[in-house]
Amino acid sequence: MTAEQWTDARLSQALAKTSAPAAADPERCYHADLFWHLVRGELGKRLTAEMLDHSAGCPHCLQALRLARAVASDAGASAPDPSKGSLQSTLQKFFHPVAALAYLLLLLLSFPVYRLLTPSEPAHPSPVVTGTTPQVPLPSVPEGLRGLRLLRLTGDVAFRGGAKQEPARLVLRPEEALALKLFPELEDLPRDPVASLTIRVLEGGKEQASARRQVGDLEADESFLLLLDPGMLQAGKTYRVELRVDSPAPRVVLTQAFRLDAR
Amino acid sequence: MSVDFEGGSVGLEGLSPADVEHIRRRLTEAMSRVCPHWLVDEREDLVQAALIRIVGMRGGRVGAGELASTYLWKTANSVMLDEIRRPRWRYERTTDDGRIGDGTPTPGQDPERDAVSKEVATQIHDCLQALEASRRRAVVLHLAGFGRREIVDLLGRSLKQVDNLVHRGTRDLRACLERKGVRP
Repeated sequence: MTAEQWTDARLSQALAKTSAPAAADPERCYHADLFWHLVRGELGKRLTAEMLDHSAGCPHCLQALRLARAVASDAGASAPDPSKGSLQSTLQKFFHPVAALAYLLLLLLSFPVYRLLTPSEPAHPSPVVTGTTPQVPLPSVPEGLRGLRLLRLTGDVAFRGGAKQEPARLVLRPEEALALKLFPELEDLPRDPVASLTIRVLEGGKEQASARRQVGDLEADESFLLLLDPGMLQAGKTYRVELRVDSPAPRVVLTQAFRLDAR
Repeated sequence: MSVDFEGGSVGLEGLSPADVEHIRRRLTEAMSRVCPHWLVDEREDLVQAALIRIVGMRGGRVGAGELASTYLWKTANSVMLDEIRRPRWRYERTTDDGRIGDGTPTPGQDPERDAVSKEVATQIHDCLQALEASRRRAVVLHLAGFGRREIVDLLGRSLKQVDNLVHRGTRDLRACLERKGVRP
């Protein structure tokens, strides 16, 4: 029997029908959500390549890839829409300015390196957020997303005449980006999953960054995620974050502030 | 409306029977394509567990309008993988005496065939890893069921390049398996 009898279908079946080798290390496997984003073409090329390289030798992750593809396909959401063009053009719709996109890509590239170099580090970075803003315990951080400082902002809209809230305060290490997780009141959001939202980051009244989201982009923990380029943030400055519903009736559903302290 | 499961049921306020059936059917379709053979008997249970967890996460707030949302399917993917992986770790757990698993074969399990399948898969993975990087990535996607257009978009290559990468990659993969004496 020759190797030519290994048809593509047989190769695929051979990979699919067996259980994983015991040597595979589940601790090194990528988070399921990352495969979801990979299938939808929402990851950088380098991270996509890293995950595919890993999956080549890891039955667990190869199965996760197949599952994400199957689910996304059934959901009518597999593979990026060709009209969206390249990854860069897709991301540019969400992240401004360009520096933010560049940093995000660098961040994604660095994640396998962090994972290899710091195996004993805790999976969840310690919060540095201080101040009077109500703090919620940090969520489970998807595996590999080290180097991110998570700041959770809950949805207290400031009322005229109400007590002024102090901004949350945080310090960023040189290798860290800032991920804002915005927790609006679900009741304030439109029911339509494709309803449009805008997240704005302002400093001194000037817009520093903005990103568009849809209600359907809510994460599993019912938050919206926004990654910020630390290059656009300056120590000593206070930044205001707004989450605005664009339609049918434009309105701000969350506003919060944070201050970046010097290291 | 409720979803029944062993020991009780979960209410699905705001969902019509048609909504629940819609979600269940699509989860089942996805699972039928990816469920490993050692979990075939548990496929319905996995779908049921995923359905319960999805609704539980939303606190019964899933509405008909949300059925097509990205969030729902992303969640479905995550919980289904969790459910698949959970028994997997149990099955593969190394016991104190060095054996794999809990020593209780599942019905229809053929240990010898499983061992051969596992060895074949290991050899295929070894050969995949030995491929040139760009070919390896294209072949991994191809064997995972991705179409050419999808691979084009994910790898940022032209259709012609992807065709070449898949063709040469699978050729190299077969040659590697032949050198190892691994046969279908």
